[in-house]
Amino acid sequence: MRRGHKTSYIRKIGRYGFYFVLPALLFFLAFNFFPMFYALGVSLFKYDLLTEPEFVGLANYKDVLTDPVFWRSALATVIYVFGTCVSIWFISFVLATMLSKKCWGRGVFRTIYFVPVIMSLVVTSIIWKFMYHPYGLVNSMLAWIGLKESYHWLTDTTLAPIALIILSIWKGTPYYAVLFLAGIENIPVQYYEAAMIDGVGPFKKLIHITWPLLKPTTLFIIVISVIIGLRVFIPQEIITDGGPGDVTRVITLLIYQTAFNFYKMSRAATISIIMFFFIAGFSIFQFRLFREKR
Amino acid sequence: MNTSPVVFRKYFLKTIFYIVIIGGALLAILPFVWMLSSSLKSANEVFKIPIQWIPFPPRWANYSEALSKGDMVLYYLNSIFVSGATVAIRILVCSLAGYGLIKFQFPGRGLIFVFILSTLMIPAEVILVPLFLTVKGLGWLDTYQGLILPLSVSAFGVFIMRQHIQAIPDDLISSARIDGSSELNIFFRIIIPLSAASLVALGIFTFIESWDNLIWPLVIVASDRMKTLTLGIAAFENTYKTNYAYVMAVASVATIPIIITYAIFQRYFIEGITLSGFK
Repeated sequence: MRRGHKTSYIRKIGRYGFYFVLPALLFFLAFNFFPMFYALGVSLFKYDLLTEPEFVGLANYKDVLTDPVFWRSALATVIYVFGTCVSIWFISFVLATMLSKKCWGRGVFRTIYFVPVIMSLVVTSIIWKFMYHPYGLVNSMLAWIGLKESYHWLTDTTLAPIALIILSIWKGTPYYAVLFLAGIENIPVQYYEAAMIDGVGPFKKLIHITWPLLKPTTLFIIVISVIIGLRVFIPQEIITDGGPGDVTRVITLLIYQTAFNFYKMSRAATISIIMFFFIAGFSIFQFRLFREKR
Repeated sequence: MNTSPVVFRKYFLKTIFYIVIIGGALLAILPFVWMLSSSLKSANEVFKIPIQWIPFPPRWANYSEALSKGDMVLYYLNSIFVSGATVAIRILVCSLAGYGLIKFQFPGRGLIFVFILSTLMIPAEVILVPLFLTVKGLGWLDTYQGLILPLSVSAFGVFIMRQHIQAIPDDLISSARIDGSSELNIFFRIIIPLSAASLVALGIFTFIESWDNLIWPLVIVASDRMKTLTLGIAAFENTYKTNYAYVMAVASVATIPIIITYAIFQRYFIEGITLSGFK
């Protein structure tokens, strides 16, 4: 009797829980799920905002997948993500290790190192565009260390992708270093103390204590850095506009230009769906990492 | 005695450590310093070699001249409004949902949580085109609601708030209920104050994200008066490409307030950013 009363009470209260979730639910339905299915729908039509949509089945997918422009864009994206992420994992780990050491001015260093993260990427891109000018800061610093050639960073097909990768490393490293740092500082000091008593060297400490205990952090960083990398847009749009040629036309820029410069809505939606499957693989991984933490 | 190999090695490593860490810190702020320095140069000093780090005399007129050329103040206000509204909606809606999902039992609760988390798979770039068509259908192109609402709620925010509200003791909530507080009252009087720290962190995280958005304003905004700061700066750069000092002056105006805010609320910034990591 009492039990029954309690359950009905919980159920009655429980309804409020649903009301609390409702606003968020509506937002997600309207601005995530509906557009996702909309995109799926649009990708099956011929649609350019001007004429009546016409059902074409999978023709858009065939068009996109046989279009060299799409594949060059996919390649540009892969090169960008690979170059940026791999460098960032190593550099940010080293930076985090250094910032975790007790040293003079540690707080000041942490403050300074974080500046790139809070600076707007739009502003950062504009500054770097200027720095990469043939007479800009980058070349004059290279000249200072003896490389006196005038590099055309943004108009050379080999250098332009590298230039954008360097910028992204500069911007992204401190962010991931802070994540690593949080992971490192969560490792109980006792492990290191015990290792010290046993006379374990710093390299072995790294391999046997830091590395295994940082595994969840590392996994998380690898997954989100790849996802963030795949979504890159701002530097390519502002600095190179996809050029020279199309060596820096990453997938998001291709989607944007296809839709809003050429008004090929259905083609852009098709590329988006393909990109979705590309990202989904990584996201499912991220999703599982999140769920494990429930 | 100080020259023994062990001591020498220790000092040697220490020196290397400081050289690397100071060198890295210089690299980290170099573009910022270069921006400030260039913003005070005259057109023919900009590419002078060797680089003049402290321009003399500083050309302050760059600022007034550059700012008079566009509606930067308006773009600034637009950005503050859009980012502020995004923050307000996000922390409210996400903490409501987080609270509902963790402190109540109702049928479908688990399913709804999984549904919300699964939207992590759909970044705005992927649904750019349909989102644009949706907003167009609503008649929201070139409006504040069009700029704000579609990106205001995030699965990540719900996840974080749910995580933090979990730590609030159930007894606190049930005793308030026994005292006759309404459910909304409990939310605003108990849940919100007790999760203030994570709300601030989520707020800062959201603000940075929204402040720096370019792709969405680019798609939505048509008229000059709706431009956000990112859009305004990008357009300014496009128009005054060759006048580097002007462009850098505008970039400085956009950056300095952020840097000052960061210097004051540094801890919260770093917390807000680390929020996305494991806690």
